Formats: sequence, structure tokens, C-alpha cells
Amino acid sequence: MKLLLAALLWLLASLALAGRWTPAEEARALALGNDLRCPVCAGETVSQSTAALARHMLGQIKSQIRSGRSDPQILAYFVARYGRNILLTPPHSGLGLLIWLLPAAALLVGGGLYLRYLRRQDQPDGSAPPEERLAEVDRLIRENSPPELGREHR
Amino acid sequence: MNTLFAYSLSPSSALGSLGLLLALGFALLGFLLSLGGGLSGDVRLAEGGRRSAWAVFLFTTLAVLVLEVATVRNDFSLRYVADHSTTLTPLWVKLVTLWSALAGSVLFWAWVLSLYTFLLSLVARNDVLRPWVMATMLFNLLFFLGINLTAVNPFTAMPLPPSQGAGPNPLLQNNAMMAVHPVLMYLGYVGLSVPFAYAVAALASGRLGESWLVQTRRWTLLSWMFLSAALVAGAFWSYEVLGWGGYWAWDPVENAAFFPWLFTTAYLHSLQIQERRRMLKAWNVWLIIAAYCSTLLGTFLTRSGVVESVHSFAAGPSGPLFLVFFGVSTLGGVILASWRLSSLRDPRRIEGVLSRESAFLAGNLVFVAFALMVIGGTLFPILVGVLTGAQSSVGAPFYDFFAIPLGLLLLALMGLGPLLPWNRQAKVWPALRWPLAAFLASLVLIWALGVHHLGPALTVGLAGFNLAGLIQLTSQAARQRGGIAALPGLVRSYPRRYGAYLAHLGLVIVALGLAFSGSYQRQQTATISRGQTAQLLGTPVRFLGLSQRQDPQRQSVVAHLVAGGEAMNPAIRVYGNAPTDPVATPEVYFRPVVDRYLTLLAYSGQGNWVTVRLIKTPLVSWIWVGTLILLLGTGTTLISGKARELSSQAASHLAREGA
Amino acid sequence: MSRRVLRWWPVALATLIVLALAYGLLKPGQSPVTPLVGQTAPAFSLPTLRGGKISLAALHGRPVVVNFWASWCVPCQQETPTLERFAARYGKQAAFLGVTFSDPVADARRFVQQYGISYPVLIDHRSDTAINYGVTGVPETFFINAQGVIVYHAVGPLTAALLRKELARIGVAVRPS
Repeated sequence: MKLLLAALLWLLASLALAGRWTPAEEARALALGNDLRCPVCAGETVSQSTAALARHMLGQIKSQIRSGRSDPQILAYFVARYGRNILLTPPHSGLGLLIWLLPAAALLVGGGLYLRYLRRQDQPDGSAPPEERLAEVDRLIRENSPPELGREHR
Repeated sequence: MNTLFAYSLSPSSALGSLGLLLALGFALLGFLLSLGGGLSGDVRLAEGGRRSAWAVFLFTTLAVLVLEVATVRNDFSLRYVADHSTTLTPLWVKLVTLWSALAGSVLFWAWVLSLYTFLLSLVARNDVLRPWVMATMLFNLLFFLGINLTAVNPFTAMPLPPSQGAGPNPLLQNNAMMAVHPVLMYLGYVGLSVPFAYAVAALASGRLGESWLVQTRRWTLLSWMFLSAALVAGAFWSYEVLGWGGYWAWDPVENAAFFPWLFTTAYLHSLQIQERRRMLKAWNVWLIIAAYCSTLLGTFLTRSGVVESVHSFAAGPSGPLFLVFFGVSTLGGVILASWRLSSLRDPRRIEGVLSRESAFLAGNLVFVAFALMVIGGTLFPILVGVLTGAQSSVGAPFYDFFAIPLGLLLLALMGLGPLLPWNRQAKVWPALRWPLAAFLASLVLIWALGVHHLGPALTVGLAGFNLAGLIQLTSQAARQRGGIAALPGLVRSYPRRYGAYLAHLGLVIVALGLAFSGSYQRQQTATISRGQTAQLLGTPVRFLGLSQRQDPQRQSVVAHLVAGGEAMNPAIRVYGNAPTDPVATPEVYFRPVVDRYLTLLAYSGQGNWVTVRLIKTPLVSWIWVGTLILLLGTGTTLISGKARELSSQAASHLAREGA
Repeated sequence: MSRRVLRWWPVALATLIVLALAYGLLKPGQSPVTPLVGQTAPAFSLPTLRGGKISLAALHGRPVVVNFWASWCVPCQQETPTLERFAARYGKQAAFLGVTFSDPVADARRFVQQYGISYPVLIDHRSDTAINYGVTGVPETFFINAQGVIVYHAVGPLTAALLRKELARIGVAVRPS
């Protein structure tokens, strides 16, 4: 009985909501719209733009969400009509792969050079034991710094 | 060019062109004299070059004044004024017309550059570097004054002046930030030519010691301050006018302002390693070359139409010229650096993996990777076009994917750096204990409070780490001096250190603002009939009616709504000079926790209904407040401290270098 | 030897970037890729300004020219007289349709009167058809052959020469003017 009541309530609620968008639908549409370039604007996404066509595209996305289509299906719909260029994410293949790998490659190469720099720096002559070297550095700092500065290093 | 000196046709055109021509002449003279002075070491030549810079500044100022006066007096005998102003334009918009379109903005750029050159000629230390510095600055001026007289001349005369001008772009006359953001932007962008000029001078003269570095620290900091302020002012402007509740869209032009900032931030940190430890000489030169060349790249991207953007200038004949200048400067800098720097070896070494310099260096690495990511994304569409002929776009999803982890990494390193000692591997656990505990505690707390996005949660954790670290460092120092009362004295003695702490505090606040506004923005659109109330994001929004407002230069349709008990009046404005280009003017209520933002999207002619978009964004205002703190902190580091740490240390280095 | 060559790599990189930018700047602008060319034209059924309803399916077997426009667009004002002349001339062989979107109906009606447009004009209220055709602005025109396949997608104002060429490609017997 309780179950039936709940089902009835749910049905009523969904009927009342039909035609208006739930916050979840709205959020999903906005997320999708942020992946799409507004075709009539310069450098704005569909979700950002206040242009009429962009808002109608957002409406399209919502109706497609309502009719149960998945995110990739909805994006594919727009790609089929506007070309790959409508998507704001470069493809994960071909030339696009290059741009996806660039930041990681920069970090990796940079990190490698950084470690090599530290290691090369670590053992230039390799003879002095650490304590002696520390004392040497302390002495150098004292010599090279004005009095106030020496304090600052502590 | 045939109307250049037809005084009877247009006095303004003749006078302005004369000013530019004289400025160009003196720039050429000064460049040659300075170059001669640098090469020969002849003091008289160098002095002549230095004084020519004064004349360049004088005559560029004259040209700027002519254009300003012509705009204010509606002198449509100048094409620039006729194209970008009207008799109905308000005075403040007329005054900023100087930088609201291509030709004028190049003139303004030249003027800012001549101002910096003038100031440099007064305060630069009289040493071997100075003629080279002046020559580099004047070479820059040659280019900007040169194209100002040819391809993008703001003083082109109209043979038949119209009775009314075409007027400025509606978006540019709709918000007072037009008077603020571009000025800051130019001051920051152009200011970077000073450290670049010093780097070129150091390379050309072979004096690669600390002298150029010490002399440029303040200039770089100042430019960096302007650049930071400009970036955030631009973000604030976008937030207020564009109607989508965001402030940063990874648009190519926004990126163009961002990558110099990244390089400069890296440089400001690594130059401390060179000051303290005389290391990374070559690296610092490369960073400043990268920072400056990226400003020229940005200028080219903004003014050539080669990338698509909301903010770009109309494409003109200047694109190829800007590219040539970018090419000449970049190749010049890179060839000089490759030639001089490859033989340079650092005399000292990093002693421990866990030292402050190693943290700074790691931060540098992340900054550079970040900059490469942004540059790569911005240039990618051009690269694809060149290689395959296809069109492609790179937008926010790509940038966010990398920017969030890189930003978190920077936040972590920012907290770590000041806690570690210079020079050596020490026992770091005592220094890190409390900050790490604060990190864990804030992370657990915010997770328990329901923030389950990894980005914002980690930002809160790292904010805790940073704050605990800053408090620990400050309180320890104060305790050694006898308690909290000693703090003002400490700040006065070490303005650089405490200014940096304050700047870091500002950045922590900005980071929190970015993380939460980026992840928890919500919006809902609805059409509301007159007298009706709709629930938008849980707030009742009631539509009372429309009204019209008539100003001389524009017509506004204002919607009167009540949102959650507060009156909100978003408008759509139509400017008389651009009737097909309505500008949405959102109403924003700035709040410490959640901003409320209402945009009017559509309305019925009879005022029966409106379509509005309500946006709620948490912690946006933290970005603006945090930036003010950041600027205050950076300003503090510019003050000379009692300790005179920098100059005395530099002097000792110089003494040894000379010996 | 290799070290001496290697130290110049930043110069090589900078040169490459400058050259790529130069090429990107100077190469002629390309017309946008339109993936719908060669595909079956998306179906539509829209109300006309005069009050009827027209669907693409009902026109099957005839070549169709679909012109997307708006009253506020300047290039549309330029091309409309030419399009109207061709519609009057070849209206028996091919169906000419205007589609207006992002445009108040009253404005569209005034535009039709002002330019004496005789071919049917459809109202795409929510821009659904425009989006379905991948329209990026106005004016844009699609040339559809008798089999219902899109043969050409024109972006920007039509010219007489272009109309003549593309009408011939969708099977209209074009007479020399």
C-alpha cells in the first residue's frame, strides 16, 4: 500500500515537472553546453553565451537529455551537424594527442632535468662527509653575509 | 600619407603626426647613439642616447594629448575619432577612446613604453649596462612609433569630416572597468620590457652577474603587480558584463595576458635563488626572455585575428607587422641567450633536496609547464590549421583538466617553500609538523561538511597548510623578538619577507574563491509572467514589470524583479550607434559567501513576461578581496627594509665579481 | 661538435613557432567544414508566415533550396533580391524556402513585405531546424537534390553566379541569363 502511494506521488511529481527542467537536468545540460563552442559567438561556450541560438542549443540538449540520450550521443549529434570543431576538447588521437601529452611531457622532462640537476649538484667531488660539508657551508654563509643577514638564515 | 601635413584639412592630424614623427626621429637617433655608446664605451654617445629618450617621451605625450583633445572636442576630421566616438558619448568614454581601438591602443602602448624609457633614463644606475638598456627600449619604441605612423595611424585625416561619428563598441562603453583594466594591462605588459632590456644588456655586454638582476627586481615586481591587478580586473569585468556568471573562459586573449604572468611569477621566485645563492643565472635570463616574448606573442594574437576571441581587436593590416616584431625580438633574444649562456656554469650547488631553493625550483618547473600548457592550447588551432587545414577549438574542458592539478601543486609548493631553510638539508619535520596537521584537519573537516569535490576539498586542505605555515613562521619570529608587539618592527625590518607572506595569504584566499566558484556555481533559467513568482534555485523571484530608460547615447529596457526580498533590475541596453547589438547588463549582488546574479535574456514587447537567468556562485568575492591583499603584500615587498638585505648582499657579490 | 650544435635548439624552436604563426596568419581563410554535405537532409515540418505548414518530406522528388535568414542581418538584405529573382524564374522546377530564426515574427513579416518575397517563409521558433542543419549564422543556404541529399552548403550571401552553378548541380535546368 505504502509502495503504491509512493509510486503515485512520484508519478504526480514527474507529471508536474514535465516541461520544466529539474536541477539535475539543468546541471547536466550546462556541463554539456560548456563542452560546445557557441557557433555564432567569438570564443564563448554554448552555456556561457546569451545569444538566442546558443540558448536554443541548450534547450535542444535538455530535450535530448529528457528523451534519454547519453552524453556522448548528444555530443555526437552536434558533431554530425557542426563538425569536430564544435567540441572544445581536442581529440585524444592524432594531432590532438600531442596537445594532451604536452603538459605531462613538459613536467616529466622538466622533472628529469630537475633531478639530474640536484644529483649532479649532490656529488661534485663526493669526498667530503656531510657534516664537514655542512660546517663548510655555514662558514661560507657567515663570511658572505652582512651581520643581520647571517641571523636571518637561522 | 598624402594628407600627413595638410594643416588646413585637419590641424589635429597634422599636429599629432608631427608629434609622432619627431618622437620616431628621436627614437632612431637615441637608439643609434645608445648602440654606439654600448659598443664603443663612449660616454658622450651614451649620454646623447639617454637624453633622446626625454624628447621621445615629450613628443609621444604630445601625440596622446592631441588625440585626447580631438576626441573630447568631437573633431571628426580624424578618422579614428569619427570611427570610435560620437557627440553623444559621455566624457569618460571619450577619454578612454584612446585605447578602445587598434590604432589608439598602439599609440597608448608607445606612450607607456616611452614613459618607462624616460623613467629608466632617470633612475637607471650609470654603468656599462645602461646604454644597452636604453638601446633595447628605444628599439622597441621604434617599432611601435613606426607602425603608428604607417599601418595603424590614429591621425589619418578625413577629407570630408562627418557630422556624427560611428561610436565605440557597446561592450566597451557599458562598464567603467574599460577605464581601469586596459591601463593596468599595458602598464604590466610594457613594464616587462624593462627586465628584458636589462637581460639583453647583460647578454650583449657579457656582464651576467647579479647587477642587472638587482636593478630589475623592483621593475619586475611592479610590472607583475600591474599584470596581476589587470588579470583580476579583467576577470571582474567579464563577471559583471558577460552575463554568464563566470570570470575566466580560457579565451585566447585572456590566455595571452596569463602566460606572461606565469613566466614572471616563476622568475620572481627563481631570482631570489640567484640573489641568495648566485645560482640559476642562465635560467633567469631564459625566463625573462620567455616572459617578454610571450607579451609580444599575446599582442600579436590579440591584434591579428589569427585566433577567435570575444575580446580581440578588429583584424587589420598590422597582423604581419606584429608578427615580424615578435619574430625579431624573440629570435634576437634567443640567439643572444643561446650564444652567451651555454658556457655559463653555476658556481654553487643546491645542497639538499628539501631546501627552500629546491622548492622554488620545483615551483618554477610547474609554472613553466603551466605556461607551456596554456600557450600550447592557445596555439593548437593554428598548428592544426597549418598541418591539416582543418579548424579546431580548444576550450575550458582542456585547460581545466590540467590547470586544477597544476594549481593544487603550486598551492602545496607555495606553503612548503617558506617553511624550508635556505641552503641545506636540515631537519624539516619540526617545521612541517603543525602545517601538515592543519592540512589533514581542514581536509577532514571540509569533507565532513559535505564538500566532496576533490578540487575544492584539497584546496581547503592546502589553504590550512599554508595558513598554519605562515602563522608558525610569523609567530616564531615575533616570539624571538619578544612577543606579538614586535611584529610591526619585524615587518619594517624585513618588508620583503612579510610582504611575501601577505601576498601568499592573498593567493590562498584567491585559490579558495577559484575552487568554490568553479565547482559549486548553480544556475536556472525561467520565463516569468508579470506579477508571478517563480522558484529559482530555491529563491522566489517575482517579476513586477518592465520600464524603459532613455539616455542620450542609449536606450535601456529594465526588468524589475524581486529576488528573495531584494529588488534586482537587470537590463538590456541598446546603444544608438549599434542598434543590432544589444548588451545584456546583469544585476549582481556581491556577497561574502554566495553572490546572486540575475541576467535578463528576453522580454515581450508589451512587458507581459521576461526570461531571466539566476546564477548563484559561492566565494567569488574572495577572488577580488584576495587580490587586494596580494597587491598590498607585493607593494610591501617594494619598500626598502632597514636590513637592506638585498643591496648589501648584492654589493658584496659585486665586489667579489669585480675582484 | 654535437654540444655546439645542440645549444642552438631554442633558436630552432623559436624559428619554427614564428614560421608556423606566419603561415597560419597568411594562408587564405577557409570556408567552414560542413559535415552534412552528401548526407540526407534532416527532416523538418514548420509553420509558414502565412499560416500554413510545410514539411520537407512533402517536397520529396523535387530539388529544394533552403535559405536561413533574419531580418536584422545585412548580408541577407543584400542577397534577398537575387534569391527572389531566381525563385520567380525557377520556382516551378525547384522549391525555394526561407527559414527565419532568432527573429521576431513581426520583423520577419515586415522584411518579407519590403523585399516582396514570394516564396514561402518558415518560422523556426526554437531554432531546432537551424541547429539540425548545423547553421552557424545568417545567411546560410542549403541546396538539396531531388533524392533529398544535401549537395552544397553556402555560408554568407548568395550571388547570381553561385545560384546558377549550384541550382544546376541539384538538377535544375538553368538557362543562360
